[in-house]
Amino acid sequence: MNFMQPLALIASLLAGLIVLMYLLKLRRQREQVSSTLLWQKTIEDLIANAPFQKLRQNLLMYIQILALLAIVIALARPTMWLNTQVQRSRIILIDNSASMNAADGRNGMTRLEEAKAIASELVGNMQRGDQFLIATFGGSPRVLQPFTPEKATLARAVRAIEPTEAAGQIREALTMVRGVRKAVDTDKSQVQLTIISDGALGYLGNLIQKNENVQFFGVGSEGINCGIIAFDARESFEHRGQIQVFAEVENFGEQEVTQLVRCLIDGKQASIKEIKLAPHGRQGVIFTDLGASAQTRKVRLELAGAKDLLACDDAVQGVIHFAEKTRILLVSRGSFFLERALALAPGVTVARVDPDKYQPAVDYDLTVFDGFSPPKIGAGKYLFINAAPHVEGFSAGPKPLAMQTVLDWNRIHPIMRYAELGDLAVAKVLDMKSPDWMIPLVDGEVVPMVLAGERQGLRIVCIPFDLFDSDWPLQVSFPIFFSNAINWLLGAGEGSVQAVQHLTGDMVRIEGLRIGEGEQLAIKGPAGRSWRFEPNTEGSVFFNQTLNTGLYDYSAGGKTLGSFAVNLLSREESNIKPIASLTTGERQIERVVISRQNREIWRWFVLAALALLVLEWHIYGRRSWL
Amino acid sequence: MTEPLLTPDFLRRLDRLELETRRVLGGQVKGERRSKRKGIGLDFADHRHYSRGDDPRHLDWNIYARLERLFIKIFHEEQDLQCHLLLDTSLSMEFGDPNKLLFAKRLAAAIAYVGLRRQDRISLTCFNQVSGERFGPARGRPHIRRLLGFLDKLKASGETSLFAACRECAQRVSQRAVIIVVTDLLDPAGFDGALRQLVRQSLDVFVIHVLSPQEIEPTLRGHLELCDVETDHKVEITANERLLKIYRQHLDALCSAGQAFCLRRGMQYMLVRTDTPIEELVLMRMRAAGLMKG
Repeated sequence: MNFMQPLALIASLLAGLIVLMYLLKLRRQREQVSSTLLWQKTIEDLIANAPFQKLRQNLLMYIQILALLAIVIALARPTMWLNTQVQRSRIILIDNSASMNAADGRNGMTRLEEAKAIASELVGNMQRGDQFLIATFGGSPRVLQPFTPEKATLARAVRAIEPTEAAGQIREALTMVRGVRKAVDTDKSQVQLTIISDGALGYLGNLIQKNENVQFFGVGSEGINCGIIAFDARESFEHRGQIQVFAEVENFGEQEVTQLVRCLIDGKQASIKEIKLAPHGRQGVIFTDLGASAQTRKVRLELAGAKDLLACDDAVQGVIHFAEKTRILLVSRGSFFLERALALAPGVTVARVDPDKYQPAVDYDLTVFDGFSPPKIGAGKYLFINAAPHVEGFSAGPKPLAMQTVLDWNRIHPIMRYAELGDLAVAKVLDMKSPDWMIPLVDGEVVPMVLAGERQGLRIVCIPFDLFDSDWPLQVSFPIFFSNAINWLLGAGEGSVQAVQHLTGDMVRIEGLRIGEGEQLAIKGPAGRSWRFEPNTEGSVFFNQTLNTGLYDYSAGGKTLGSFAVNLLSREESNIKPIASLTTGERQIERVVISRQNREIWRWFVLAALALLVLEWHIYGRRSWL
Repeated sequence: MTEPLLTPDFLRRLDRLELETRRVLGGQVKGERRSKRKGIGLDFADHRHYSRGDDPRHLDWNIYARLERLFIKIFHEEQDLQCHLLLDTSLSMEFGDPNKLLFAKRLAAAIAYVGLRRQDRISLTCFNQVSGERFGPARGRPHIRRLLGFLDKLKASGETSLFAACRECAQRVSQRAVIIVVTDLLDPAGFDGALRQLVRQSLDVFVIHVLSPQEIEPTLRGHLELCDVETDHKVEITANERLLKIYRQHLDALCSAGQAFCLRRGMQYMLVRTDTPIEELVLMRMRAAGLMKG
């Protein structure tokens, strides 16, 4: 004979309770009287006058029947819908992205607080043998607590979850937990994935399979929000030294709203505009020719109209670095489009030289090789077109590849910002192999069609096809790409960052740092938080704590080196309307308020039977006053 | 040495008393009590014409001197009083402080003493289911010592058998008599049927209901198992104010029922607490009730 729950045998100790009850049995003091005649009548009279006398007469019988019923029900193994689960393992993914800061949760809580409350309840309802994993996916996915059966540890991890103003990274989080799930999944019990979110998750694709056990807890109730979803600030092309600001504002609510868009430069109001936004409407706002005198300007755009549920998308910041005079050497036999594209960049002087006459020179900030690759290049910044650099790891095949089209491109990299390459077709592409440190930016059918990378003072962008073998120069993306490429290649000045603004959750690289030994780079964030880093051997610092919107200043040795701005700029996060179901591929996961599953409750009936028997014994012991 | 049932002082005071009955009763032998019967006595009753054979000693010579006719003087005949005492000696009487049986024995001794002093015929029957000890009938002072000795030796035993005692008494007593029943009336069979046996024109019945203070005002508290001294029957109670109040109501009902029963059937009922001084009971309350005079 085996026992499913041998620990239940401990309950046999309850026999001691019965013995104790007998030991403590009401011992009546014996008293002799002349006759019990009158006392008997007294007792009978007391019984007759007692309320519910008929019921009391049979009270013991009723109690015994109830005890019997309780035992019978326990034998029938009853179940109830309770706040619990039969899963042994559960991964709780909690959304702590920007939209979870909306204060429309239960009892005035924010959505994140409500999500934490749900998670705490799930943890509180854990059964013996269960194990949970707690992870968040605001900004970047983080496992706060690996699988553990300890309730207190899990509850502490839930309490430690902090809000972020970053976009949710559910895709990355699902990818991250997939490996964990495979390790824990067994034939008998599958890990349950519990997502607690308001639904601003973006496109999930087929990340969740049909047979996966997924539960979606929705939080939030309203969708009133108006936010800035796009923003850019730069020096005007037409009027050097002036600032142009562009923003797009969207109303995600069901009511028309009027918003004041205020533009501040270095904290002072430079301009203000009023816009009207229809329900679910969006509108662009452009501020032009805003005066500037210094080299660096901090631009802030904020919505000063009606308040909404989400604050972190009501303001954006940007830092503008006015370009200094830049010299570019174009080594080419002549390329009209290329020269025009290079000359478009502000403050740029382009000098062209034939490949035959090329001499390595240090006077130029950037060298562009068009159809030519020098046998040796030193540290510097290079743009190679239709040529493979003579650098270790690069090699070009003897035959070019014919008729290549673009499959996909990296939309995140600064070089590819605003560049749409879907229609690009190329007649011939070099069959070029590149080293690992080169990042493919545009994927072709066989080889990458644009690559970028840097290593040991070398910064290279490589386009392995002749521009005249493609229709690219005729596309809008052409000048944009070159403008971005020049900015990226030239942006590695002392203490510079790759872009003037970043999205929350982005990794920011501060490079070219030349600070003294033993000194650290201090970064001061918008919420008064500060961090200190030591640059790596290349003089770079990677900063990934961009979880709040605002300006981040970095300094070393008491000298301010620069600033960068972090904005939300996410339609998915600004659209805070909660969703009713989670759609992933062909599957639709309905929102649930709380998890309720069948749970056996026969133990309660056994305890009830025991309690009833004790009560029956007690009443029997005191039956004289019944 | 045990305390005597009656103290000499009390006996001296009892000497002045005699048993009283509301009815003129006739005894079997000449006594000290005037009866309805005419005959030899001290109290003049009437005259009648002399007829041959009358005792010439009873001729009224004064009338003959005035009327020259012979008249005989007739007197109320003095006869004795028959008094039957029924004493409850069941175990229920062996209870209380002061003890009910001791109190009853003193009371019976006092009544019997008065009767024997006055030449009344006294008999005493003890009733319980075990034994039915009896004293008498006896008449005259020489029996007083024997009576007191008899009472002294009485012990409580058995259950109450009031019905049997009353029936036996009613069968035995054929003439006019005074019946004095001393009991606590705590008979599971009830007292109605028993006392009904004594309902007869010729009997003057006194019911003396003896209860101890512990029975009238019980001071019980808490969870108790009450045990009947007679039957060993047990009743479990949780004594509280409510329960005691109901008990007192039942006791009052018992006493009221006894009083009402006696009143309807021409009997005398007297409720007596055992903490009542015996002198006060006999010299005052019994005189007031008409059982004693003097």
